[in-house]
Order: sequence, then structure tokens, then C-alpha cells
Amino acid sequence: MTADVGEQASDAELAARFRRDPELFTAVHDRYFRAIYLYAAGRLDAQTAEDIAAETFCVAFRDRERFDPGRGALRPWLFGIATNLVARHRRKEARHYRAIARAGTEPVADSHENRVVASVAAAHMRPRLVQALARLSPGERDVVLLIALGQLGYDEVADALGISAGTVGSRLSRARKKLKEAFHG
Amino acid sequence: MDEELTMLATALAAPEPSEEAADRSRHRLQNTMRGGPVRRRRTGRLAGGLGLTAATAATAILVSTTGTTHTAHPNSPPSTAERSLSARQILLAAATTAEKAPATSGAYWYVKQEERDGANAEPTVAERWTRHDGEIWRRDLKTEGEIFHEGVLPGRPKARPFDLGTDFVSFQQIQRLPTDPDRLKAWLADSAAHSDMRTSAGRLTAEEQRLEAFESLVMLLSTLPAPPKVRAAAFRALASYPNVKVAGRANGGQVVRFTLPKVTEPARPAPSTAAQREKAARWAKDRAARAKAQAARGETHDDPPTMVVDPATAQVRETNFLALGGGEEWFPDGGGVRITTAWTDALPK
Repeated sequence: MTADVGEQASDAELAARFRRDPELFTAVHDRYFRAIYLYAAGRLDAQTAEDIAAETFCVAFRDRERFDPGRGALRPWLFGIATNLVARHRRKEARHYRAIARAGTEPVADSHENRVVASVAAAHMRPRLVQALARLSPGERDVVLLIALGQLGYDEVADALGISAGTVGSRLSRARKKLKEAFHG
Repeated sequence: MDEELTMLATALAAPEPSEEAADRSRHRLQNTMRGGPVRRRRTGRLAGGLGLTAATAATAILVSTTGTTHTAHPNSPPSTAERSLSARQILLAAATTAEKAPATSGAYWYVKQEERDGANAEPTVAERWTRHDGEIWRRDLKTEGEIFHEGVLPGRPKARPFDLGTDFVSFQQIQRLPTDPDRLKAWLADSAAHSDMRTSAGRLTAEEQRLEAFESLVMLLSTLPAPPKVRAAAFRALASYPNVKVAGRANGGQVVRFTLPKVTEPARPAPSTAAQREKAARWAKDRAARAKAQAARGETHDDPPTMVVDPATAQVRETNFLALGGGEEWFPDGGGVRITTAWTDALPK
């Protein structure tokens, strides 16, 4: 769990505000659009990602009565909605990974490159890693990408997907095993 | 995160979203917030409660009287026989044709839209196949010519893939719609009354519900797989609106114009608290901005919904008002969409 207390409190405050006045829901959009977009754009093409990110907030607005601040923060709730929307594009998602794997080793956005201790050898392995994603079960893939792209903590992943922390753990370890196999050949 | 996950994040990392993308997204949310279902390119609701003040909401329906053959001279003077037909008679003729048509069915309900920017421009084609269970396939610009299995449209129940008024409806619900014009209108108004749609003044007023029912009739006839008796009822319901007139010819059809009753803005209490004043000011500002943007695009609130109806087949050939797949679209200023609907048993190869 990485979210700090301040962020949690302001999320709850935001939720309390849009419950009083639904028009304030745009503040939720402005806070989370970027994160949701980048998550979706990691899994699908830019146009579909934009569509999904936009739809996430529309769905969230329509379902706002169901959001219970006592049960979790806004962030995992929104990522959960986005993940459900991504699930409707499985074939497109697989095509997206194949395209990235084919495109070779160039990272799409080099600003992220400094996060990686990237040896040339490791960079060569990346396409195999991306291709391996397509071989994960949808549930395993959701867990892996909510962590890798959404930067959610394990508890947040459990909230987002509506599964137990134990299930998050077991899906993650199965996924890691498959990814390591792909990575090390 | 361990090494593998970090590398995945790097390999999949996408460029930052553009400011325009964020704006488009916020706009879509704001439309949802005030309009219920997603509404795109809509220049304004007929219901004045949401939009700018409109003295009258004028609605034009283009009715083709030439059967399946569209005349090569769209603006030639009408023949004596055509001139003698009143708007109501034209709609009632379409109702009679609709009622006599055999009930059809198939595995997929197919809707093709052809949108043109000008009379001679190449059309942009969008096609959609909807299976009885709500699964959807599409082929359009976004799918790059391939048939794409969309599955279920985001944000709606799988079993209810069709738009009717402000609601999503199932294939079965459409089959069970009332076959009496008055009961059909009442059903549609009631559906609007129970929808989650809100205007800036809150729930829909009775007048706004009646206008929603009118819009629903247009949607029902142009894009939904309704059985013959329901289609006939919808044409009759349209013919029952007061002040319906033939208003000339255009595009191979006759313009039938409805002058609908004026919608009064519901009275709202004057803002008393600072928060309410701030909210009211935000609404006013947003309205002014939208009006300005619409004016800049040459759109006005009074763009009348337009249909080309072929009484010989009871098909709606063209409209400038469309609800398909989670969005209502308006095609302002003479732009229109040709519509083809049919049942089919297989997806194209």
C-alpha cells in the first residue's frame, strides 16, 4: 500500500463533495484522467485508450451512488472500472502487445527509461516479455498491469478487481513465474 | 516492483495524453452529467429546459413521395398529386405501408450510416450488427475496414443494446412496445419520466417528457428493429402532433414541419447561499461558452431534426438526428445521414 494518508483524506473529501453536489464530479476527472489514460494506453492503442478513459468517468458518474468511501479509495474504484472496459477489447489488446513486441526494443516514451537499469541485453528481452503478456490469463494480466502501469498497491488491486488480497498474491506469483520463464528463455 | 514488472511498464509506457484529449473527456463527462446517456455533437435539446431559450422547437421531417426512386431533380416543383398530400396524410400513408409489411427477423440487426459533408462528398460509412443477445460487431473508420467484435457497449447492460429516448432497451422490449399510437406516446413519455436524465433544473418536466417522447419516435423509426405494428403506431403518433405542415421540398422529399409547443423554463429558487450562487454562475458561464462554440461552428439550437421518409416502403432513408451505440448525434445545417437497416443472418466475410 503506497498511497499516503493525505491522498486518502482528500479522496474521501472529494467523494463527500460530489455526493452533496454531483457537479463537482469533474474534480474527480481532473485528478485521475491522466493516470487512467496512461493505464489504458499501455494496454491498447491511443484512440481506444482515450475512449476508455473518458468512458470510465461517465460510468463512474452514473454509478457514483455505489461508491462507498468506507470500502476503498477513488483510485482503485476508477481503475476497476477502466479494467472492466479494457476487458471488452481482448483481441485488440493482444494485437497491441504483438505490435509492440514487433516494434522492437525502443521504449515508447523515453522519459520512463531512467526508471530502468537497462542493459542492452535486458532491452532485447523486452519484446519477449510483452509477448508473454498475451499468454497470461486475463485475471493474471489485470493484476500485473494494475501494478506495473497503474502503480497500484496490492490492497488497491484487490479493491479494484473485487478479489481478496490472497487472490492478488497467488495471481501475481503465477504471472511472475510465467514472465520469468519468458524472460530467461 | 521487481525487474520484470518495471521492464513491462517501460515497454508499454504510452506518451502523455494531450490536453485536447483531457478536454474531450471532460466534455463527455459533463454531457453525461447533465444528459443521462452520452450525447455527442448534439447542438441542443429540443427541450428548452436544458438548452438556450427557444421560442418554438421546430421540427422538420422530409418525406419522400417518390417511392424507392429518388428524383434526379431534388428541387423541381412537386407534381400536382404530391402537392395535394398533407403532411399528416404522408405520415399516415407510411403507417399503412408499415402495418402491411411482413414481420422480418434474422440473426443480426444491421444498421448502416452514410454521412456526407456535402452532397457530392464521399460518404463516411459506419456499420453495426447487433445480435439478439446484445453482442455488437462494427465496421467503421476506427476499425480500419475490419469487422470488429465490440462485445457489449461500455456502460450499459448487455441485454439492452438499443437506444430509445433516454433509456437503453432490449430487443424483446422493442417487440413488446404498444401498437396503439397514444399508448406508445404515453409509454415513451413515461420512460423519460423514470429515466435518470436531468437538466440543469433537475428532473424532466411533463412538457420535457412529451418532447422526449417525440424524439424517441424519431429514433424508433430510423434505427430500431421494431415490428410492423409498432412502426405503424409510431408513424401515426407523429401524424397526431398538432401544427404539422408540409413545408416544401428538399432532397427528393417533402419537408414536414412540426411546431411543437413552447417549453417554459421551470422556475428555480433564487440562489441564496454562496455555494448555490457559485454553482449558478458556473452553469451560466458553461452555457454561454457552449452557445459560443456552437455559433462558431455555425450551429444553432433550432436546427430541426429531419427525416427522409419513403411512404412506399415505410423506411426512414435519411435523418439529421440519430441515436446509435450510446450517443445521440445531430448533424447540423443540412448535413444528414443516410440510413439503411435490415435483418441479416450472417456477418460479412
